Amino acid sequence: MEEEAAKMLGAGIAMLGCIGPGIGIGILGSGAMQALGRNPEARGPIMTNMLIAIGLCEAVAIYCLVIGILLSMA
Amino acid sequence: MPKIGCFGIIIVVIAVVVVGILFLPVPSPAVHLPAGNLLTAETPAHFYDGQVELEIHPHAGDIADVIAEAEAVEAEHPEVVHFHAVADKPDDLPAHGVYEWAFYVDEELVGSLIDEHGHGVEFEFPEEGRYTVQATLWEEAVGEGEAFARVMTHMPEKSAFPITNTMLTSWITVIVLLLLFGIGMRKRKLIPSGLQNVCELIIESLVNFVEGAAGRENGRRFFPIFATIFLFVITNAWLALVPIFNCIGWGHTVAFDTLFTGESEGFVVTTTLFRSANTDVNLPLAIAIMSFIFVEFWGLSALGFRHYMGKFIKIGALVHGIKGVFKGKPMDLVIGIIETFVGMIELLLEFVRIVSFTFRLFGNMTAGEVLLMVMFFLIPLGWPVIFYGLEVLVGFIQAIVFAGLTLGFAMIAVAPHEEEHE
Repeated sequence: MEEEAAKMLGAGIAMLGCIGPGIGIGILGSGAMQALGRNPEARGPIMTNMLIAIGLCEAVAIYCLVIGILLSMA
Repeated sequence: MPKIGCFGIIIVVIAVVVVGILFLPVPSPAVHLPAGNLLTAETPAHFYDGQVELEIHPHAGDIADVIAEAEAVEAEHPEVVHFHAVADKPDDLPAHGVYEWAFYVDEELVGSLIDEHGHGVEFEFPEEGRYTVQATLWEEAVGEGEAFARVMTHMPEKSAFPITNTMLTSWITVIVLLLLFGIGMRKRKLIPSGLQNVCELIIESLVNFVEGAAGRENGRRFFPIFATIFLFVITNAWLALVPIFNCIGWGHTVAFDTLFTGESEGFVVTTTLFRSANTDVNLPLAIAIMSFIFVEFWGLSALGFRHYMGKFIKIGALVHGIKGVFKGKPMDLVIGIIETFVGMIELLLEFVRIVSFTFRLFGNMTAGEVLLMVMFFLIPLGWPVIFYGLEVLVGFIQAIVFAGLTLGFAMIAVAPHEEEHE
């Protein structure tokens, strides 16, 4: 296999790592929705903490994206 | 600790890091991340300074990469340049290839030479200017190849302050924001209406969000940075959807085959005049570094240097653990070691957040740009409107996420670290 083809394939396979954070963010959102349904008054802290947790979870997806960029552009 | 002291420490640390980086022999990056395109009067693909490389990428056929090299003959104007084609792998060039070299000035054919034996041609440039060199390999058995390159017969002047198209767009963003809020708040009525109402709506919803999350006094402290990041990112993202962006610029004419009407010529823009500032990796990096600096500053000034560093360097837990071994509770030592490593990882995470912020915004915006271009390529009428809606939403969400995460990390940074004492 040529080097270029291997790099492109690697970049594509690296993006499979975004499955995990996708599921994780979905679980976080579901938890936040349930909490909001039970206690609509606590909207401020719930949303704030959900955003922080989503940010940390998404960081893992971004690590995969960085690998993909490194492979496909260098 | 007085606030000036914390600020001073931050300034010293940043200065040491910046100066240290300047003196490090940093190798050139292996990855070429897309930054803005330089807006000079002529943006050539290759400079001519004695050697010209033309890369030929064939449409079809088995030739992998045929690279044409030019050896310059030192001469005053007009200059004679020798062109011949060589292959990356010598087996790839056909034994009996016939090359036709065509030279264009502004899509006008200036000269054409045929190279039958593969030795190369010598072309004398009649005058100074910008030429397009096209080499075509005619070989029925193997395939055709074409090369496009730009040869400048004089070196362009390098400007003292390079302006890129993304820099230009960020200036336009600043002007738009200044105009919006300047004109809106010119006559301040007590009961707002019109543009003043819009400005007050924006500011008030942002203040409500921040104070709802961080409380009154912390909210007031965090609000300027939060609002700046949010407004700048969202204006950059939404301005890029205006039709003059990403389509006006410099380029060249390309001949291509259409499905039904045969050969046709079209103008391909390679360097655009306006480009969304968020797609330049430098801008998200700059905002991320600013957010990091401010989060650390708020943390240090709220808690003091010792207490803030105590969140990351947990020597107390380790000492407590060692004492616990002597008191008959060995689990304390295990907990102490784990806490130390967790503290180190959290310290590393503070810096990795810069990378994460940068690539989140950059990746989203670049992917959106590419998506729009692909959608326009598929069906140019009507269909891309759906994706403009998606881009509006994505811009808004990315602005909220960037500013909201800065706010969240700031809240974590100023929260006092509670020790667990058994």
